Amino acid sequence: MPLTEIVEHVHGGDLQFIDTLRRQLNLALRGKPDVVELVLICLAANGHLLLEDKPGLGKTTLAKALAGGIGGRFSRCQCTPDLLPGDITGFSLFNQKTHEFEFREGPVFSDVLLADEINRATPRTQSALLEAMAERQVTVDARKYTLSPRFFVIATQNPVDEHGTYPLPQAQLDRFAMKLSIGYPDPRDEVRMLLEATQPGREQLPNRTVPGADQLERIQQSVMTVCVLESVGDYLVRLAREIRQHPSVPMGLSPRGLLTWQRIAQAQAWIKGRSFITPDDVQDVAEPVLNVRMGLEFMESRRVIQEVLDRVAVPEYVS
Amino acid sequence: MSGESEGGLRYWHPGVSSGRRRANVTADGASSAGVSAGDEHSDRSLLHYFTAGLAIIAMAVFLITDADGGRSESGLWTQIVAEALLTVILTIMAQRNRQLIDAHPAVTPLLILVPIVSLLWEPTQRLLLDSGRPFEMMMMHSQKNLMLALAIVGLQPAVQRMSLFIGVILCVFSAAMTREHRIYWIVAGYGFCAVSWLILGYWSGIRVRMLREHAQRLPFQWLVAGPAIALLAAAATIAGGRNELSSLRGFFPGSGGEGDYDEYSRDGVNDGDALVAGRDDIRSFGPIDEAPMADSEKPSLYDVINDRFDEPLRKNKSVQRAIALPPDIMASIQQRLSTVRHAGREFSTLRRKSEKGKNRAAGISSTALLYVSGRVPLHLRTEVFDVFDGVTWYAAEPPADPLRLSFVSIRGKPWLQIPVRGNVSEFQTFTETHAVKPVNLKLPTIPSPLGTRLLHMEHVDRVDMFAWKNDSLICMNRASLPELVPIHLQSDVLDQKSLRSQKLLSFSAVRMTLEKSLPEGPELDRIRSLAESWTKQIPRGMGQIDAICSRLRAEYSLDRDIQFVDGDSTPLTQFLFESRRGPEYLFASAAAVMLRSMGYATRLVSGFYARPERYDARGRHTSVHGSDAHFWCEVFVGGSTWATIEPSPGYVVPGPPLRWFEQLLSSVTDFLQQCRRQWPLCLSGMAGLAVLFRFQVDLKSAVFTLLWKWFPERTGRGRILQTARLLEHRLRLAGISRPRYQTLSRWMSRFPELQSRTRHQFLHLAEQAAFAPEECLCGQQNLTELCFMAAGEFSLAEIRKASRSEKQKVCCEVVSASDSVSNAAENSTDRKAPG
Repeated sequence: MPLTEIVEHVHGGDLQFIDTLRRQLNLALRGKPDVVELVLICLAANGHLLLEDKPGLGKTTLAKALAGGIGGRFSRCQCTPDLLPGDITGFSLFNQKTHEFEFREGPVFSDVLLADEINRATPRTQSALLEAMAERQVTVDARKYTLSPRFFVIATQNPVDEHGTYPLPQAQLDRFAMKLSIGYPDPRDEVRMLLEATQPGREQLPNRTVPGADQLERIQQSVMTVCVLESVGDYLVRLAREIRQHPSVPMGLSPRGLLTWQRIAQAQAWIKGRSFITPDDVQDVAEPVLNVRMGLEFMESRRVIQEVLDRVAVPEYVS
Repeated sequence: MSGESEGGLRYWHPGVSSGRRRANVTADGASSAGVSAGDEHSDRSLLHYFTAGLAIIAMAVFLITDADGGRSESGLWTQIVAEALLTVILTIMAQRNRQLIDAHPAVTPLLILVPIVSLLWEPTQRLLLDSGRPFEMMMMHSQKNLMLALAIVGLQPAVQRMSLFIGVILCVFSAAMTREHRIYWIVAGYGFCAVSWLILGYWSGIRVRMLREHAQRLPFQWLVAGPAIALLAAAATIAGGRNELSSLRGFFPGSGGEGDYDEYSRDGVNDGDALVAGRDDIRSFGPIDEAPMADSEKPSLYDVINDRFDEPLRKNKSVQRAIALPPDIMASIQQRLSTVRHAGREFSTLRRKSEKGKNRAAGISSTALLYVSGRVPLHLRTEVFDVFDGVTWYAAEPPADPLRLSFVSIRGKPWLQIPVRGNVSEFQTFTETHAVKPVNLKLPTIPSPLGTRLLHMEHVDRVDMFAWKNDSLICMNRASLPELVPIHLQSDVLDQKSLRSQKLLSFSAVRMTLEKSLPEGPELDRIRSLAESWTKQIPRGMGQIDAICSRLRAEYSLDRDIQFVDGDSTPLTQFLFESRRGPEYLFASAAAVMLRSMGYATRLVSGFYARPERYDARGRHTSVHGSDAHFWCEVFVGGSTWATIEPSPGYVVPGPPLRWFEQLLSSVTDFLQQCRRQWPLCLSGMAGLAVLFRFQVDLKSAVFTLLWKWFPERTGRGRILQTARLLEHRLRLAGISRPRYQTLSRWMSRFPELQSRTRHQFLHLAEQAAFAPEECLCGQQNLTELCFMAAGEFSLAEIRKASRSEKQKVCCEVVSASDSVSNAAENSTDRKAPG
């Protein structure tokens, strides 16, 4: 099959869509192109995103801009200890007029859900949300409700105030595709941000995208078909084995995590317009993907990941 | 659909028009490096197998040495292959069960058992199979088995090192013991591999600690070059001058020798019964069961001497010469002249030039008269002359009251004890052993060094076989010495160094009238005054003797072809005052007469000088030829001790045996001298090597490029990958090789100098060729062209430039970092100062 046919699935329009989205997100979140890129990759890979950062760094802004960008429904829930599973999934309400139970959809019935400070919710609520993330469906009163196929969760958590929080268990964390930290913007970008704040009119983001309802879905489908050569797959497996053997990693990488890693690498290759992944893709996305899975502090995890990457040889250039 | 045409190349580029190439997201932060458990494991197991291989080589070397030609080749190799196979199988099993072996408590006791069982096998073998090994072979066998066992369980580096250590000892031992040529080759191979092992072991140890930038690849070039250089140096040392390898021999205990007796031993003096017989190699030392019946013309000593120093001129009786000998001496000389039975009992210094080699039969391969085993240079005495009439020396008589010869048994062997007249030497001596094997010599006198005390011939234990030839020489009571039978000699050699340091030497020789006798006459006065002028202001003693010798050696030259006219003056005076050149006998006569004129007792000695140059390292002996017939003199130093004096230039009296560091030093000086002697070769070789070293990178690159050009891959994909490998070779040569954990394109993005459209295209294609399905490249045209262009643009020169600027960058960063540190330090001190 010639190359042209192989890349046909990388539809020009789809890339255009991603491009536009990138521009919008960059406008919303100044000076963080790398974070934006990873968010886009996560989206294209149909994975969920966990943002861990201090308050006020733009987590919500990012989530809102993303929801606006893909043109879907956006909902958010502020997680607190008294938040109940029903508050997230939705609940049946007895309708006095019809004398029937009516299902009230919760915030999960949206395209982009921002779960703010997810570690403040009780484990019960957390697991309800995480189940919805994993299965893309909720069960309320023995009835299954299917969620939007584009359902994308951006959860945030605050690493500073640990009082009264319920840290997400490792098993649950595995459901997120990647964990990112936004970090402080550059001084220059901050100045620009301040200037823009004085012009309230411009704060509104122009919602120019006309989202094809299935465009994102199609992108996600075509990401799955990005080719992974056996040698690169082997490289991934070697990396995973190395991580599992690393003395300072308490919990090794699960096969599900490995799959996610591959998917995210595929998404990056796709976004770069390639129909195959290279070891570079694998390396580029290693940190955000592994951050969430290794159960380590941010800096420690970065160190371990770099160490592992430096130990494992990339596949040789042989025919 | 995205395809775009660049430079006539259909080349798929992502992003269609936008052409975004985003910088990498993840920071390429510095990080510590390490070796993964997997790598470490593979390193270890590689070392383990390497060790086993080395042990097998050492085992083969030792077994070949052990066989020493005494076993059939097939039997020997069957044993080697069987042991090697067993070792390999057990090593693989050990590697498979590494966990078990690593911690098992039974391993160490088993290892200890291995040599013990090997040693215990020996008595069993001697009892049951009636065959055995010499002591050192027994020990080495047990060590060999221990080495193999250690190599098998060598999962830990320490155990591997132990095995290797024993292997090295085995190899050195074997190389020193054997005469087989192939051993040297195998040992050289072993040395090569062993140095590689060291490098590999060192490398795998250091990998953990090294920066990740440098820790990627094994230094294969050094793995090969290091051992090669070491071996070359060793080979040069061995090739230089004498065979210095044989100097190692003294470091190993050989059974037999002067000490222990072992019937299974096969080396050293006082050999065992199981010695290698001289059947297969006529020059080997050993008792010979049936000496070859060689019915050839063997030169007698007389022939040898005449061959060497021409024939004596028959004196014209009418010529009158003023020679006045004291009447008492004259009487004894007259008596003696009548009793001279053999030719050669007198030696005239007046000789006629003869055509040399006229009688030499063609086709005689060896002209050696005898072989000497032991330390050389060595003066082997065969005749002693005491009376000199101005022209002719007369041989010393057998003693009137001979001391009784007797046999002593040393370790079951009969040794003839040669007693010393007078009181035992008060001078410092050291004991040396030699063995002499006459081959082509018809002579009853036993050629022996001065001070021989013990003498041994296999199976000869009857005193009446021997007789005194004179005061200090023993001869056999038969026409000639038995051929090919080694005669072992043990002598007390005077330490001439200590002799010179001794202040008070008596030199008083009251009884030695003959040894002090001189022909009277005007010539003697001239000689005496010359001797006195040479030794002016030097106190009596060794200083005077040395002065005369050194003057003779320095101012007179050795010339065997010179003709002396049979005229009014004797050859000695012609030599001393006119020609100042002559053969050795005139040097020796001159020294003897001059010393006598000053009151020292001297005697002229003829015999053979075993030259170190003739030392045959393989046979471990020195051959002595007819041309090695030599004259020297001996001086009486007191007590009953004579000292060898060597007045002829080019001959030396050996000092005490060298200690090991002296031997080492002499090896090195020999090597340097060899270098100096062949300086054009040395210089040009070094220059060639320097040029090679200087341009090695370019040469290697050229070789790689030619290979790349001449053997192109057929498919486009293969060609691209081949080009990528060429690029990697060049990167490595320029010192910026791609780390194993990075892809080529990522690595190349570090170098801003190496960015261009073609290069970019090529790198992308390489990525595609390596990581995309094969079909991706099918539709692409002009791949070969692009490969050529890329190979041209990624030239070694460009890559080197990039590498240099990269290094500069790193330097600048380091400098600026240190600057900022020092600035900060200054600032802090500034701030402190006003406070």
